[in-house]
Amino acid sequence: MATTVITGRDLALTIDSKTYDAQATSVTLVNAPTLVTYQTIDGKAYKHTDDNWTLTVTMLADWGASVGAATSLCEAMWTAANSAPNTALAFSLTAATGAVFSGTVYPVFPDVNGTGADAQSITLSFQVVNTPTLTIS
Amino acid sequence: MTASSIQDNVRSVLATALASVAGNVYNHVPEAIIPPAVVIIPDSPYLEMQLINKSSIKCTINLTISACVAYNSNPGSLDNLEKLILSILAVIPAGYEIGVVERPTVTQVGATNLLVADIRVSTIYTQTN
Repeated sequence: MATTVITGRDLALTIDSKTYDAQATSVTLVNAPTLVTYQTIDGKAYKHTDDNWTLTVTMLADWGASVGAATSLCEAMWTAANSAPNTALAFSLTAATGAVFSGTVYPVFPDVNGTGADAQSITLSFQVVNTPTLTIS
Repeated sequence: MTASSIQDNVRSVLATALASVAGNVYNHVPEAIIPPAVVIIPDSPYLEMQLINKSSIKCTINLTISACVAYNSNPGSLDNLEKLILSILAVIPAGYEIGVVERPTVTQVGATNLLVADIRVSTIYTQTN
């Protein structure tokens, strides 16, 4: 099998039907499993009891940059977190190889920052509802 | 819709923004420089891909703004250069990251000695077709 390389440029990210490609510099979908460890007479035994998925997006801030129908992603997320914090938003992370990770996340308030020399960059850390679905096309 | 270009949508726009400073502004390297002058040239690395996805080309453009003054007397030239740098910094438009200002150096262009300092700036460019 030929070596496959997937880079950030091969990914597409949407949250709540909004495309984040124009602003996102990195995205991570990661699971933190809960493993219970039992010390038995024969040695350690493990039991997988839970999964906790997190979607982390690092992006350039676009506050106030709404143009026509194109809404500022920061403003849209702020509005969602403020008005409906308990309503999960659909997301999909698609790779050019055909793999699609989809699920729902709860909205979070974007942070606001700024340094003298650098672009205003923010990190959104979303709690994923249940386990994302992997679809291979 | 006219396709965008770095020349028209970045370097010329930056040159226009710098037009108010007391000097000749070039959005390219000219054959002959008439000091005081401000020259916009590519930095290294020039273009950097930072965003996810490749449906359209979006890249960080690193540019150097070279501030040039005539090198006649050391204190006078340095003072002129510092004033030119400060006037440039004041009019760099929004959306530009401003890096460091490099140490002034004496550069000979033709028969003219120039005192030159480089201001490093960067912005993000989106190609539209």
